[in-house]
Amino acid sequence: MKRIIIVIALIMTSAASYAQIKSASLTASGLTCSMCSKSIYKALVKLPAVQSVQEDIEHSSFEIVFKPGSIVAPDDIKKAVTGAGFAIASLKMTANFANTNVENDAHVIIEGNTYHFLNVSKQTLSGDKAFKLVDKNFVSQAENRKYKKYTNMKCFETGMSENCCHSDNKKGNRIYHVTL
Amino acid sequence: MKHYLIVTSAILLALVTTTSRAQELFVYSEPASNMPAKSLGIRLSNTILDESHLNKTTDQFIPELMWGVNKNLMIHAEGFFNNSTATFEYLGAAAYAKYRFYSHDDVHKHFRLAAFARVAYNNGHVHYEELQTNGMNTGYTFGLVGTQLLHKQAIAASLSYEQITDNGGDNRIHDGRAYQGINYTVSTGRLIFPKKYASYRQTNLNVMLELLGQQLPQNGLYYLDIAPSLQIILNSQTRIDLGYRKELWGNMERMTTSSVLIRVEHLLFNVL
Repeated sequence: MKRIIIVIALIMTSAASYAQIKSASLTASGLTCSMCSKSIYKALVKLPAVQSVQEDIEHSSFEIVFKPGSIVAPDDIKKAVTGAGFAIASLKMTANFANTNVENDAHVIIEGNTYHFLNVSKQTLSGDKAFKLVDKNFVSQAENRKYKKYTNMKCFETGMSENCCHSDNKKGNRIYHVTL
Repeated sequence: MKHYLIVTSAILLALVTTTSRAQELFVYSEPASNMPAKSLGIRLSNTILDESHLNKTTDQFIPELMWGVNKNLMIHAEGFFNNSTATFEYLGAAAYAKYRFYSHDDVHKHFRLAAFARVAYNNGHVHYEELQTNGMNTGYTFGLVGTQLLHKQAIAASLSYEQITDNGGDNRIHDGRAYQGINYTVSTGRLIFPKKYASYRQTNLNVMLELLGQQLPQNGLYYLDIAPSLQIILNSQTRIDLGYRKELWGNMERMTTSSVLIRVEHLLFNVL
């Protein structure tokens, strides 16, 4: 019965949005040297969706601007950082929303990727709004665990859609978990 | 002289481990971290070996090509040359691999562990009791290295096993000599300049201090060297290392107990 309710809830709440991801703020972990920071910078600027990167070596952080109309996948950013030899401490994406409804434990499709909102009140997003990835390998393990209480869905653990998800999300599709 | 070296080293060690930002791009040892994936590095190392017992110095030149295969694995191809016979001669080559198998990263911190191995071929004469697959002996070595990077301190330690066999060209190990050894290193480093990072184009100056030891259980021979070094990083991409290595204690016959290292290393990001 619980599963049926979840399915119905998802059908009602999962929606494609016309939001466009414009930029991201990234903090990397595991480094202090400028050569290490440059290896992340070089990997980020090579991503096809990236227009520009502004580095802050002192704080191991990077302001990324994406090309208009490009498709941005957080996993591509993660792969760039881990390939350089480091990890993500925090990743905040800024998207331009056009009356997108979000609520706790509901999916929103942005640029073809599914974002599962957690710890948010029911609201409509318009204009530039930032959301933060809270999945494993996008925040510390301790921070990731804090968001577990906002959902009972297995995708929080696996990062992949499960049988309980909306039919638009076939089992095995990537689900990113985010908060505002 | 020995006491002076120990006191100087203790002061350096205190400086290196108590202030400012940590650096782990060690000069005489490798940290547990790897180079970036899909990148190439070119490293040219020249060691000037003081052979005052023969009233001369010898240059040992090691060019290396380094490849970041993926985020966890890197491979080096190394060539060995020296001019102990007045002209530079090719002595051999080696392959070195390092695999990072544990990482715990946090902002400005990490703890990492890696396994490494080197297989070397050398056809030079086997004169000395010291085992050195990195330039003098045919053989292999394998071991583990751990690096702890904290905001203000980077410290790495490694432990490895080394075994040599007869060199090529019928250059055999002398009868009764040890062919198995244990190597250990302890390294620490500090950023001196800049005080605050502002750009990748800033020149960085690092100071390192390392202890490098070898123990030969088969005959009880050993050495322990101290190796302070300076490192300049240009454009966050090119390294220039200048190191001095001196024996603190030891009882084995070595090509030298004091040497100077000059190295240039350039990293090509994302070229593969």
